[in-house]
Amino acid sequence: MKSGKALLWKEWREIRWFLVAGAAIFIGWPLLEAVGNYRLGRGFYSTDMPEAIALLLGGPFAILVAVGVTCRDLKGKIACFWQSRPVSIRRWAVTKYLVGLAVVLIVLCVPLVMKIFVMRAEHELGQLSGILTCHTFTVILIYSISFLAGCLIRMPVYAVIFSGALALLVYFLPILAPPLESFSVFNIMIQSPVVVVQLSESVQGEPWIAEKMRVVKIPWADDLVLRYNIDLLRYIAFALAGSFAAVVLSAVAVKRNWRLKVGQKLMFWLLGGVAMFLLLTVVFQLRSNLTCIRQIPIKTASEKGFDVAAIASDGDKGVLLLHCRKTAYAEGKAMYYSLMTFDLSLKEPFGEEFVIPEDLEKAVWQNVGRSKLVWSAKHPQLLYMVRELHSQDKTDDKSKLNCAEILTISLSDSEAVVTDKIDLLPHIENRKGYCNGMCIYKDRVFVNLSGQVFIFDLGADGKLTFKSVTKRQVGVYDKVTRRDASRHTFATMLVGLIPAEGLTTEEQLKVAVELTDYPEIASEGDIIIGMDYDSPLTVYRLKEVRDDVATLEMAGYHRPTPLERFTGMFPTPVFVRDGLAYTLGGFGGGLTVYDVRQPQYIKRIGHYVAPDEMFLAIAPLPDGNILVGGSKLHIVRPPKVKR
Amino acid sequence: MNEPAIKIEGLRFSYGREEVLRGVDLEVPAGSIFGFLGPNGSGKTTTIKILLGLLKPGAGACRIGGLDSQKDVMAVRRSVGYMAEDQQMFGWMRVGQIIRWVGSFYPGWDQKFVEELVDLLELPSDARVKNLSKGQNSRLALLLALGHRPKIVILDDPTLGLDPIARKDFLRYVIGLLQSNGVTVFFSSHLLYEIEPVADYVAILNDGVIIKAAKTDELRQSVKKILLRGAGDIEPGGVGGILDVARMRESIAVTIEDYNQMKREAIEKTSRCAIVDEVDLNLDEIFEAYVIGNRGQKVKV
Amino acid sequence: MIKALFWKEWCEHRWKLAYGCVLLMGFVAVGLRSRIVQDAVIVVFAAVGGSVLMPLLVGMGLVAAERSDGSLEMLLALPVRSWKIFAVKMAMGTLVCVGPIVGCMVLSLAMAAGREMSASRIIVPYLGGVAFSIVMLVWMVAFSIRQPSEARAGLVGIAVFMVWFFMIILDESAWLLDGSSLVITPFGIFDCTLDRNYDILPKVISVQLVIGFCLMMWAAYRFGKLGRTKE
Repeated sequence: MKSGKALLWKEWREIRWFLVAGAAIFIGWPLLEAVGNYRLGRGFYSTDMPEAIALLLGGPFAILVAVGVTCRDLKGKIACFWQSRPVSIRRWAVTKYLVGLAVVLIVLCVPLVMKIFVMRAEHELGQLSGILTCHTFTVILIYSISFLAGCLIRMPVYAVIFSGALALLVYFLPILAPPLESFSVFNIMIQSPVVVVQLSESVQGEPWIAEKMRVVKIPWADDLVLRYNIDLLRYIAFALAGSFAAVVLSAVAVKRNWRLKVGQKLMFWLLGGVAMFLLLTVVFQLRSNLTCIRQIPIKTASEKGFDVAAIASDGDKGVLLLHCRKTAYAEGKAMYYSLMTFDLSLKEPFGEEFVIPEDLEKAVWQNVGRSKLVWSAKHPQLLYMVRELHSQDKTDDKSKLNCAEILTISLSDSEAVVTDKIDLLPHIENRKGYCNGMCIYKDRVFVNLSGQVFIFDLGADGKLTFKSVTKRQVGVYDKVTRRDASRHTFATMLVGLIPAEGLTTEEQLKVAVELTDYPEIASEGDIIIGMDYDSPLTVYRLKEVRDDVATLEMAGYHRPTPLERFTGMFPTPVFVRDGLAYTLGGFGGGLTVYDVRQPQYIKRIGHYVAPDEMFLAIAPLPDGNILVGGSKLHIVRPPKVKR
Repeated sequence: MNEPAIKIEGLRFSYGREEVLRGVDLEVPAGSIFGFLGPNGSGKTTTIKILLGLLKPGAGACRIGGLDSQKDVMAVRRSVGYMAEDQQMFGWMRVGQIIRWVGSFYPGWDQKFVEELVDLLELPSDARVKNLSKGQNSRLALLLALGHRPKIVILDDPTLGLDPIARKDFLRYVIGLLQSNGVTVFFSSHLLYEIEPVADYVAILNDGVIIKAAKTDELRQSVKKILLRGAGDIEPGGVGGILDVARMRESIAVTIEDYNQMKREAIEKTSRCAIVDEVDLNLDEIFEAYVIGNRGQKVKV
Repeated sequence: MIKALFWKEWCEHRWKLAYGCVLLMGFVAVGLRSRIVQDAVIVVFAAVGGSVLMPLLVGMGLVAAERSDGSLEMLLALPVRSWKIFAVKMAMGTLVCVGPIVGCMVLSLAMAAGREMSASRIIVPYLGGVAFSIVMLVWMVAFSIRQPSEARAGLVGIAVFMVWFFMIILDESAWLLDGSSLVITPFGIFDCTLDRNYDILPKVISVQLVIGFCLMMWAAYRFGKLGRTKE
């Protein structure tokens, strides 16, 4: 194998400087940082630098190596020199490919393996192992594609630009094009595709994750198993197949002297074309925004610059709870609050602004959020809310309720005045709880406080009359979140119903949902929508009711793509109407609408954001439009759907 | 009869839509020095690349040393020495390194012979290839072409870019090393006055076909320039083999191939002019007549 | 004569104008039509992106390309003063840089004025982009005028941008430049137009004008000297 050795020797002599540079960046730099951290007592790998470098620079490094090894021997008349010798092109291509690949894999994998070894005692290595497995094969694919580009183009700068454009497609097209989602390296990496776990934790998590997991026993450790995601195997097969095809094509291209004649113009148009293509796939996925029919700036007499914190409405009338942080901070306070009535049927929709007295302020900020302010169009001058005060219990260091009242507030004479209060404390069994929700339905006010549901009749004069209190069943929970993943199944959801006279099962279900504290579920008819930041939007359908406990089964789910999450940050369902789920995202995430009429095929069909707006409140309007509150009131037209 | 060292039959090749070779037929006798001539862009390098299996012809066949140049590519390259036009090599390698590296691909590499060549060609072993002068670069390329003692050596314009002294030196090496060893040298060059003294045979490639192939001496003897003087229309077109007709003051110069007594009388009769002189031509002039001659247009006195 | 020089530069660089217009205006059109993000994001992205991309693309081909092609000497041998040739190049370069950004501005006004942003709020970032792109073109050409190839000239442009960026970071993190980085570098233009911090605008404009003028004089001098070194 004399000629083989000669080829290897030549490749090594040419590529060793890539290895040195790569080692300095990928291995040396994180090592330096790790040593520094260790000396400062922070722990050897207290940051994610090895992963960050691998993710950011792995692809570009692979491109540089691949183009470097190929163009060196193919540009100009060098190709004629060695090709006129008895050098097998297949052997030439394989030697070059493998030597370059070895360099890339060494610099990429060694720092990650080092970190896994050092941190092997810790369990949370899922992400790291995901990068080591999934991203490494992505880099192999990019290296192979760049190898082919170098063989076809033979000019280093243009080959790098061409390879860069292809690498962009490899990384981002699968994220942006939903049918290719399973080929997205990012989607697979975030699922922690390979991880060593305890045998007892072998398969857990949401069913949509568990169904894709497989487990392999580790021979030398009885209590440990290797858990992997079958999507990873599919991805690896795709990457290897692509790489193999690229290498074969490269050898053929060199043998048959295929060349891609490119110039500066073509390269720039190619890069621009790829960028536009990616943009168009973003657009395709996110679809069009909803139309805002009307924007009404909030004008208050005090001119402090208020935003809408909550809306209590009935039809197109209601009360806005306004807050202002900026001016408050400037004046040394935490927050300013104000109440203002509105009537959207009028040309000037805003009514009076009501100052909130100091003794009510705390009650007000406790009620910021959904389902905690109650207002009825029948009694427009009245507002109902719960005031609860806690103190620290010295025996067990937990908060203890020492005041729980339901207040009737009169909105007149420019100040909010408490005209009636009902003390709930005598009826409360467990004083360690909180008010989780309040709602009005069919002239009855329901309050969920400390595990009990209080029901009040709303009289014709607007006065509340205590009717009954029921205890919610122990062990019954009324929400499903990621936090419950380790303790509960997700194929079903249990909801404790509110046994009230004259309410159907679906109405009881609706009231039960309204009374939850976390605004993560919403209901319509016999379905409940649940959503959290990390978990998918899930539809549960009512299956049966037994002993005032409703059992709902999962009917379908939609896991937001990374792009959807990006534009609808931290969404929570607010309400469901006519089979459309309206979710509100915090931190400027805006309003997102999903079509849940067919739970197996949930679709994101609308989105609305506005500049410099953080929407915190939303309410449905009787004409079908949506009222969204931020620094202005936005009346948004819902998306058109085929019925 | 000995099989020719190189045999080309009906060779065709196109770069895209442009047909460069349109049926080239050529035989290179074994042991000869063969000059392969042609203007720029005529297809000389293309023909050579096809011989080495670097390009695939559209039609036709090539045999080199009895081997099919398309089917037995590796065998051809092992048995043939090749020096490309303005050959580029791996600049980072030292002379000694590139010799050893190239040698590892040839089973018949004669390292002792190569070491002698290194001394003969005055090549510095430790110098990097990129630091060699043009002359040294050419000599190194020649050494790499000869190190495995091939029976056929192909030199594609080997003296391109060399100054006159370097060219003379190079040719001296070539002739000295190869002429006496029965090696077939296939030599392509633009500098015809350099080929002329050394080439046994020449072939002229023009417009994709071989327009003339013959022994050098025979070619020189058979192609003459006739000077005519007389009055009236001169129309020497009735005589075959006229390559060029040109006016030179009061004379007409007719360059004609396969010149003999019969053609002389025919010219005199046809032109009704007197032949005042017969001039021997060098290879350069012969080449010019074949390539750009007007083939006897009507010339008025 | 000058017309002939303009015609030559136009033939050489018009594809860049077309490229910039298609890419940037296409992005603006798709973004504003689909409304996937707020209009302000699209406008700022187009203004800032165009003001960095176009000078790089144009600047690397203005002088360095002539030099690598070998046509610079022929150009300087013409009976035209070298500073005029240079001025024509810069004028055409400016036109090609600025054209796509202005096109984006017009398109944004047509598609989105009064929707989420008023017309003035749309125009201001683009004007800032135009100013930034001209400054960046001037700096890039001045420092890359001796580069033998377009690739190297492009690297010089990137290096200039990185040096500005580094100055800003140093200033913001360590206050080493006493806040003057926003005035010395053209990032101050974006600080004024995007953050609507108009207090420093007069200072930024005057400093950038002075720097730009000096750089152009220096570049024109060196441009003319390129031919004479061969004599």
